[in-house]
Amino acid sequence: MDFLETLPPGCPPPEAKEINSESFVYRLVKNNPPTMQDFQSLRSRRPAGNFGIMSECHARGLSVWANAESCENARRLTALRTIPVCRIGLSEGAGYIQETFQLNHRTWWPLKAFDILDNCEMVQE
Amino acid sequence: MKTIRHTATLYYYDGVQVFEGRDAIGGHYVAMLVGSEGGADRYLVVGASPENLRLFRVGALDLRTLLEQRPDGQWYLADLTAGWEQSISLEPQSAELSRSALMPDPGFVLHGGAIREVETALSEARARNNLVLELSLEPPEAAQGHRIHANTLSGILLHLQSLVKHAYAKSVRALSKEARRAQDVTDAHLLDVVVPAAPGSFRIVLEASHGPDLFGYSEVSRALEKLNELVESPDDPGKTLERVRQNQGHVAAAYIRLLAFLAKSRSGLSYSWATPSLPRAHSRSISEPETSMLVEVLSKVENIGVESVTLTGPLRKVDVDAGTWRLGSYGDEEERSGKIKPDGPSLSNLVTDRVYRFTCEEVLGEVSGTGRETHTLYLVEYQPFDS
Repeated sequence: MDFLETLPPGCPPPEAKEINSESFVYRLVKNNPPTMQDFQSLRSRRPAGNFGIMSECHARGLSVWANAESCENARRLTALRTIPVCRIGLSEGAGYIQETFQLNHRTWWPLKAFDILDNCEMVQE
Repeated sequence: MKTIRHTATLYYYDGVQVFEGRDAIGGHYVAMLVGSEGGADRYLVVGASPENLRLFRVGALDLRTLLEQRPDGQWYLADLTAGWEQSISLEPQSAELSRSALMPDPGFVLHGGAIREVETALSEARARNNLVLELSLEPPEAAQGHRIHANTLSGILLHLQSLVKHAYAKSVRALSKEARRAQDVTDAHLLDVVVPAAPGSFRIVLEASHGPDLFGYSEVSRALEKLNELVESPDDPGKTLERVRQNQGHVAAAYIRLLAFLAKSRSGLSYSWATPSLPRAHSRSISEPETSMLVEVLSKVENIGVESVTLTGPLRKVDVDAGTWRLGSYGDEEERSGKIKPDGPSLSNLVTDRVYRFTCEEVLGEVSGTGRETHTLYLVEYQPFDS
């Protein structure tokens, strides 16, 4: 499979699910309208970074929320305050997703062929 | 210069946003990401009382209040340059924190509690080749160290085992008669404590008393899948009520008793469970505020804990004045006895040794102090039964 970013062996982990039905997830994006810069993994943005509790696989995935309320809660944090929110419509071929870290948080590994920007709608600016 | 070490990540979004740390003498700290300087993440750090930290971890206190109520009034900035395994140096700040733009907005809470190590249940299940359930509790006493009151520990185990027993019985009743007969289900709901106090917030690891079948399936899974249904949306009273209604009767009553116990103990509950054959563990959480809210909502619903039971058997004894009765064993059914409902039918026309079909409401009670379950059957209606 051709993922948006190069992933280490065994990534996504077996616990991740292949996306094969329609659903929405929410992500904070710095640009409005969003650009592909907003969908770079932490590892891609900071190649030499030490990311603590994360595995390398998760450092190469994207954080998204399963609902708007959790996203709104996150925006109360200083580092995430006022960052616009986009809602992404996932469907078959969007990649793999896994429940990670805390309630309603997901790590998403998009496939290269999935057009993220075409499926992204700004819901909070 | 004061230093701390990262002890737990509390919130994650494209990196560690909030974490907990300890200094060299065991003092508690909480740190929140505020930006990046020269490629290093910068965190605002304050000391936190163990109780406030506990309330924050269970979702009962917002981050801004936690920062405002720091015990010593000090606050710090820390750049994470050396990595998470190293000591983190704290730079004291003199400006007024409450007026600082670094403060988070009010209302940020840890929904569903702090981050859990959900893989523990799965790795334990695989290592033990059995179903494993891991519970994590945050009662007030756990804020002061790795401890829990004996009453809290025994209470949670009692209420959980009771819920698992009733959930299992309900799940098995949905199977065909042939499927029920094909397995020995008499004590398949039993759980054993195998790790009474794992490190971290107070954690207990249990495993099924009976091992899984050849395909890795454990009977207790039936009960825990029902538990997952009940704990699916603890932040949504409407959805929870709907799920509890679907499980009206003993399962609902046992769940409400568990929630009431948690609310009384001022503890949230997190759990994850896995069998060796599952690709991932199932995990759910209820925070302390959610337990109180759900108890209030669910306890107002009439008859939600009443189980309807139909019994068939020969009438062995009847006391019209006392309103009591006893049906003898019949086929697969055991001897049972009970009372009449206050507005129930009269017993005066019943004939001893005749076979009847009784429709009853079974109500579960609890012996005060021991928490032992009591069952009382109330006769609602009856009719003679001709086989």
